[in-house]
Amino acid sequence: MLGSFSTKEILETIKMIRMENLDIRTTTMGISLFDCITSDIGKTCDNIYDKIMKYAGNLVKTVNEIEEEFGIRVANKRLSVTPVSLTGGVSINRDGFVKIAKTLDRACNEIGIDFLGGYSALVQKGSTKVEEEFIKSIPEALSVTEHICSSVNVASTRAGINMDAVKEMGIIIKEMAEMTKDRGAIANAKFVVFANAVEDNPFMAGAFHGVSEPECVINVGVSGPGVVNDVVKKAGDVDLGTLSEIIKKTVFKITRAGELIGREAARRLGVKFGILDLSLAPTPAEGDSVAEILKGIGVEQPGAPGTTAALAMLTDAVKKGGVMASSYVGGMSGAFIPVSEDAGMIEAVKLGALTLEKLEAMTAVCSVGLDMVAVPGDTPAETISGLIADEIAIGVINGKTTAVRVIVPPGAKVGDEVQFGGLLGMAIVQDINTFSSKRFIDRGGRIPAPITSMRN
Amino acid sequence: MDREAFVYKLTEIVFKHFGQYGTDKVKECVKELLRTVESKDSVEGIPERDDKNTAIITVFGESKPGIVAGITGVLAENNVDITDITQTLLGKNFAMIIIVDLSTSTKSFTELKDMLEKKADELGVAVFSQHQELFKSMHRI
Repeated sequence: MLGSFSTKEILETIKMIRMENLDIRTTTMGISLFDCITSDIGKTCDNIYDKIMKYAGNLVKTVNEIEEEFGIRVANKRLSVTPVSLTGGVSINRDGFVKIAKTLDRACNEIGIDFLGGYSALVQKGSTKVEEEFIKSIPEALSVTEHICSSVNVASTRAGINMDAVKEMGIIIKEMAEMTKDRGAIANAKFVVFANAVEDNPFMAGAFHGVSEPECVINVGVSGPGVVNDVVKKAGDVDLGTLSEIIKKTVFKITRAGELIGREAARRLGVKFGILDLSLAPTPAEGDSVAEILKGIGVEQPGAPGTTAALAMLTDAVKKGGVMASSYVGGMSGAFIPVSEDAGMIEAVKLGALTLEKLEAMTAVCSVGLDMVAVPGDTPAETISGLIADEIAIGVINGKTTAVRVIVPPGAKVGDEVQFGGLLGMAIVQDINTFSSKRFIDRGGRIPAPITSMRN
Repeated sequence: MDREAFVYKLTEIVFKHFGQYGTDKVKECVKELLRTVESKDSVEGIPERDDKNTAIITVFGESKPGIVAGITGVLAENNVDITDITQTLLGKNFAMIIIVDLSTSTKSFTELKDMLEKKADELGVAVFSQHQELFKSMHRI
């Protein structure tokens, strides 16, 4: 024993950090922008800039210091803000919203962060005139800025599905792809369509600072697919109950590390600690992959029969291990399966093991949805809307968050590779069913809230 | 204790000992004390970290003479107290774990960390220095 630790415990932690990519995936500061609203757009932008600099000016520096002291990497420092559709004031038009986006982008450059989430709208039950203007501004806002991420919540279990918005989403996704076609349709990678969006999600591109959130909070996204992958490999041929127990114990440790960093960051920045998001979020790095864990559990490739069950067990074990380790669990909390960001998922797509349909089935048991999938450039807008509607329906009926982040690179054919670089990785254009959804999407209106919403 | 009660208490103590110098002097003294106390990072409502002076230093590398002397030398130079130390050999590989008390250190933790890393480079080993809180939160409930 050393102090109160055993040599084994100390070496285990060092090994997790140095060899298995254990890091804190993101420390996201949420900032409310409500008090920045004025009747003059120029003044509003000034207020927004000043407020962000006030709270987040030291974010990167402070978190870097914590990394040094605790010897654990915090991969990303990010910001989320109040949904911008609500911060424009009454007389704002499309150009005004783009102006806010540019202001936010400028703040990101100044602070030195890669992404800011919250160029968002919540229209699950319908949209106001201002929100309609806002939604139309999204393609331009994402193509003229570098760091801004956008999301639209089009459905909830309580409200049903706003199919008019779903239709509009197909159109703007195509539009933003066209506007950024010289950059691999990068705007698509920064845009998420949600059902049951969560207000305290620290992960991009879907982060925003919800309307019921306080002035300023620190939310933390823990990660660690590499660590889980390693223990699953080492466990050998144990039965699934035992395997679930092993995953649980490991996730407990990972989560405790995240909680420590989050609380310390909040303390030093003088703001509230919000929540810890337990999601296993993969990166393109070797071994840092949810697909590898699924293979470790026993399916030859993700997509093989049994994959959904294996993923369900994994997600559940992650939640059970994590929930005990932190006082405030929130956000998405599950396992992410973004295709382009996970080297193992890309391989499965290349081999033809993982189809879009199987991926959709998998999203029924994990967070968060059809994430970072690429489809051919000539896919009609209503087919994209159909894809969104299917995924959103899974979320609405099951009372969970689901999302779609789909890339439609103009001119791309099935099998083409789209490079984004960095954390966003590389996508392979996947086959999508070509039978038409046009008549269904054109009907518009609102799909009523399901019977499961009546819980009172 | 909330801030108001804290200020009251502080004033009471200062007055008891230095009341003869007059109320103005007492006020000034309390103000200065408060500024000093509050400039330390004790933000309201968030408890201070306990045990923030204990760090764990782990050294890995191929075994050869001088590793222990080199690393502990850096600690001694900077007046860092070693509270526990262990080493194991796994074949030719050397692993040493040192628990240190930083409260008497003449350098800040990050400066010390840099110096240790420099030394480790010279010795051809790897060194990791971390506050012990990380280990505590991961391995203890």
